[in-house]
Amino acid sequence: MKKALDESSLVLHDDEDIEFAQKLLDQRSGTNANELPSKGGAKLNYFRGTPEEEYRLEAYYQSQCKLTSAWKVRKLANLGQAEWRPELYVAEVIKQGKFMQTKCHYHHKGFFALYPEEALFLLDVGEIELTYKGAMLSMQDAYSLLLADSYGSNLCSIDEYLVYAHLSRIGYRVQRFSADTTRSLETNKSTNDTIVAKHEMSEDECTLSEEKEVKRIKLFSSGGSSQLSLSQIDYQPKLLHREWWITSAEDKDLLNHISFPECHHTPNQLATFPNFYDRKSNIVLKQQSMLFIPRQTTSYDCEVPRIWQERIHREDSHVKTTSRDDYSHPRSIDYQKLCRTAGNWGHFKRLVNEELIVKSNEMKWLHEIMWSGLEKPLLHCTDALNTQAILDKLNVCEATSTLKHDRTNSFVHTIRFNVYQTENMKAFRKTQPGKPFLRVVVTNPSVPIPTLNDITEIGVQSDGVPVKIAFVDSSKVLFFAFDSIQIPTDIVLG
Amino acid sequence: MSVTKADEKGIDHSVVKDFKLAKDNELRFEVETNQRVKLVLLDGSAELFGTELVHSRSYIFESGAKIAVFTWFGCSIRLTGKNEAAYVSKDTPMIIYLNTHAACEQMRKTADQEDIRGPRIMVVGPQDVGKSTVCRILLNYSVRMGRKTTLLDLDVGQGGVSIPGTVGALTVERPADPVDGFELKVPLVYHFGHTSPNGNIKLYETLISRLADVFNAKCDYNRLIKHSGCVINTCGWIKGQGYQCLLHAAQSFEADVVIVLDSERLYNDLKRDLPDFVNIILQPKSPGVVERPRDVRRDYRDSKIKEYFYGPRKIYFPHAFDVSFQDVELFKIGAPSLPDSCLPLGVEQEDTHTKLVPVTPGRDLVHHILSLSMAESLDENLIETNVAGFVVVTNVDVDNQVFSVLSPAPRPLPRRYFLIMDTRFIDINK
Repeated sequence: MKKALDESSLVLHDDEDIEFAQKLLDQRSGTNANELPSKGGAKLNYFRGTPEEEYRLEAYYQSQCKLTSAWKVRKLANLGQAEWRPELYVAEVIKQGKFMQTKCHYHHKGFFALYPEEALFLLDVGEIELTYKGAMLSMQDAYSLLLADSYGSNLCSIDEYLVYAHLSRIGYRVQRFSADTTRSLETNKSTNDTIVAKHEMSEDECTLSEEKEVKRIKLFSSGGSSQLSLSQIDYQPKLLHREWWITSAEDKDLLNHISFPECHHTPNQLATFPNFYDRKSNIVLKQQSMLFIPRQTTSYDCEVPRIWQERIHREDSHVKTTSRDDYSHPRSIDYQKLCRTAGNWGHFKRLVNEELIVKSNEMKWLHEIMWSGLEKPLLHCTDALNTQAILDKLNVCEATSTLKHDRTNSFVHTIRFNVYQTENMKAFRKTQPGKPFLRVVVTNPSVPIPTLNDITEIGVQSDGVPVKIAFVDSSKVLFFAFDSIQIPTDIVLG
Repeated sequence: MSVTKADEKGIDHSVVKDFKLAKDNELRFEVETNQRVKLVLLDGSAELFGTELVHSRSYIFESGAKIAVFTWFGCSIRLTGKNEAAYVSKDTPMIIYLNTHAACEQMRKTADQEDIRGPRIMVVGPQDVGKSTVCRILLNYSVRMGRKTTLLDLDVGQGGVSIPGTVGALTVERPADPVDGFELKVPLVYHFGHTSPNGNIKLYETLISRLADVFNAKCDYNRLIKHSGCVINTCGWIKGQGYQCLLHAAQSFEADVVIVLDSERLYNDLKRDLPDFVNIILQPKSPGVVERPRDVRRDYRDSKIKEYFYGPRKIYFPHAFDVSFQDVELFKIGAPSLPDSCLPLGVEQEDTHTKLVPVTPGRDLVHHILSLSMAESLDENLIETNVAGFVVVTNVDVDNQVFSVLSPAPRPLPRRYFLIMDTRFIDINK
């Protein structure tokens, strides 16, 4: 019996160690050693550095360490052995084991070989030991050796490995993609030559290509030259009425000073407006000064205005509180307050303008607040030039023209794996597995959403088998599919 | 102007009635369709909506006219011809209107003395309360005092200054003719295009602002007009958006006096929504006001347009000629607007309503009225430029690229930019 630690391997032959190992086996036999600690909860997009977060991180690290430093026991009899051959990108099987039923293939150089993801997975679950140039590889070494930075046809990236491991742990049989359904892949997968090289996505952070960088800056920063700074945006309040005819301050004052007949008490006879609003008091229409009325007319005291009051159409005149329909001036200024305080039209208009400026400053201030925080709105109101501009900003879906077929640049999505049903559903024959029930494309957040062309290509390649897209985001795997078909909508981009 | 016997056709001379009116009485009558009525003042003094009637002249009214003759001192009148319901009434609010005029006149006197703006009177009220008549009365009285008050007509449905579908301004220097109304020598007319402000509220408000600017400029230029002030006639839509238009008009023109006819509700609303220094007064409508159903209004609009081309009593002869498509450019005001859901927050859909859309002439242009803008180039804001005149399209020939028009003036057309109105006029020579 052997104990294996993750950093170095120790061989212990003492009896008490043997007992210890036996005890461990018995203890752990109930638990599912393939379970990983869960990464529960919502993902925080940024790190604030609060003590609470520190504590949680600490706790998580502790549990990780505890798990990885736990003693593991493997029975030698079951343990296979494989030698990593970097020049061929496979691991040569030296000692076969149970895994041979499902995992390896016969390499054309004359030995059984394991693909890097298979080898790594088996190492992960503890079914084999990997050696390199004779030396035993630890988990860390294996990960760094076997997994490649780039996406090549032979190579396996961390994303692909994570997807493979995830599916295999669940129980599916996963093989590398081959369109040929009669037999499984014996040579390395042949893929499209025009795969765009991507940057490595390590577990903790994303390094983005330049263009993606620019896009992110455009979306999330506030000082970029591509965005209008708020001071440039003109929030000039639209003056309701033009005042250009008022030339100087004196004129304004003159115009403001309009005296009303009721205001001043002249010894002359006052001509007052007959107003029939007030029901209670009788309005007596006084005889007017003859200077004010044309010849051939006469005015006199009229003391019977009540009939005229009754003749006025009095609807149920409970004055409603201002509803939106009655008074909806385009800008939300408190006009009624101004109405009560202004002394004449010039004053009123000045007050209105002041209020407008105050309101627009308020709006400016609100806009500033909105655009200065960590989270900003996606669109600025000045971005709405046409539908295309908005869609580009949103950047979820590129507008594709189905007639244009660009094979050269956008084909980054390729099918990586064939997935076959679990053992319970269907017996798995390694060499002739038949048609897979699922195919998987591996991608990560740095890759744009597949365009219509990509999806059609994948569909064509897959030849009737449904395809799911495994989206690996910080070592968490999500599956998306384009299975359900919706009738596409044409949008006018102009 | 004496009237010859030849003009008296259509008057049923068999029906003659004499009326004796005491002080403060009013004779009201309507002329039946296809009839005409002759009115002669036999004795005393009388006035018709503020214009004094003269003894030596007989006034002939056309069918559909609704007339009220008021006397301050008493008179006797002879009516010849068939008329509906001629009666004498004792209650009229004329004393109220006269006192209103006196108060305005006092404001004008103050304006004279202190060289400030004269009173701006706005007449508002629901439909069929006699707003146009009250405006006419006030204007006539002010003219009789020697003033040069301006009539600003915002009623697009009725067309006091020009044909329906326009807003306009007219400086009144002479009392209105009892039969023909105000002398429309040089009105300032702006194209609106619809017979209700509902057609394009944004444009309506723009035109109101424009009229206000122009009137203010005129006031600066001419002191007599400045001191005389103006009378603003509004349209009868007083709820919802119409109410907002009223507020906009009051603010643009800086109204000093608002006369609310017959609606207490409107009075209260205005009292609340207009500044306190504005005099808002509520006055009753005259019991003689006749309500006009829709078809009557439509006929009235048609007759106004006809009167534009043919003159009152068909004294003018309009010209008919062809215009080729190249010589002119046609525009329509108002573009279809994008739905709001396409726009992000903060962007407003304002501009499409006052956008000029070029139109290629086609068969659907027939019978539409076109207004000829005074603009000489497209650099000027066509919407805010006044109108030189109107033509009506009688025929469109797409093959030869010409359309025929009926026009008050002979060719060639003085300008080249036309705006299309919604109103149509079918020229049937009766």
